[in-house]
Amino acid sequence: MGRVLYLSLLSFSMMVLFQNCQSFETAQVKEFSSQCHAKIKNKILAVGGWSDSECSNLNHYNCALKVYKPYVSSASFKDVQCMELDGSQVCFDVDVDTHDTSSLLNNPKIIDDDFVEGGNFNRQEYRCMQTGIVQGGQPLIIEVADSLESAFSLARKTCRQGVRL
Amino acid sequence: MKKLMLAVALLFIAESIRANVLWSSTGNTPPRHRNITLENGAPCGVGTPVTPTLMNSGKDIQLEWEEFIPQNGYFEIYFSPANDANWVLLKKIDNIVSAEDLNKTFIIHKANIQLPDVTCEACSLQIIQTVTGTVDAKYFSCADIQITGPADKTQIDPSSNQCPE
Repeated sequence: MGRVLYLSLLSFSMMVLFQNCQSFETAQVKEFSSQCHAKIKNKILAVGGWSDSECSNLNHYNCALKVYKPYVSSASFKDVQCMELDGSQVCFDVDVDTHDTSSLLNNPKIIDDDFVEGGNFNRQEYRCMQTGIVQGGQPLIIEVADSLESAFSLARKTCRQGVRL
Repeated sequence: MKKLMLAVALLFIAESIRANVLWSSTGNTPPRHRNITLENGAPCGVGTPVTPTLMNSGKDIQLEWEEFIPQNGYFEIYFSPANDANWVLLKKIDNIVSAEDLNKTFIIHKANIQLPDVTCEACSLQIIQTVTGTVDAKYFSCADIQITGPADKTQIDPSSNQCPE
């Protein structure tokens, strides 16, 4: 009952905010822009209204990894990755995209620093998305970090900004 | 030497947070810095504004940006009148990577936009690349511009794509 209530309240809040945002848009651009999404995200988090179980349930998260490194095989696959969380081990099905950046080694616009560990073309990014809270069909909360644990912790922390019940 | 550095770098596990779209350094709007920015560094990443490129209000200009590691999604081009805030969407461009381009690691994109009919001394243009997937990824780059010339209005056209305050 509580979950239904907060989802209803959330839907109403998002509908109002979404309509406000749309009213500023021209005929050429119908979609929710990235900047508008970011603004409304902050407003929805400030209002909140969901319970902590929305944020603590691990099934409410999807995580993905993007790897940009020279000489890796470019591929997309699912991988089970585990981490320590609150003293116990938890695992996620992570969608992994790997991209070989080695051909950029000969690009005159690229500098050597781009290929040192952590450089523009020798890096990895984890993103975790909270799937239960959406606006305009898009997830409200996506956080990025250099490790699965950090990305998930950030997403959960952001989610908890809106816990009111 | 470059290969030696690369070999040393590959000995370590990657932990980094960078990304893959930049305003072109040879275009009309060179980037504020070359460290491409992720969601956690939005809107413009680390770096103070540089000497702005002079432009005329209301003028059509060609913009040029670099995409590293082409991936499907879309680009959005925004204008900020000051302080990297109050972003207004100027254009959205779908980015469907062709089979031919999938084998490339570097593409230069070009698009024409009309600058807003305003004057500003420290305004900026931002490009956001959204890579669509299980979890969308966003990459950001900013350029500093100064808009001079006749302008009837000091406010952005309210019919433009501005988000509500």
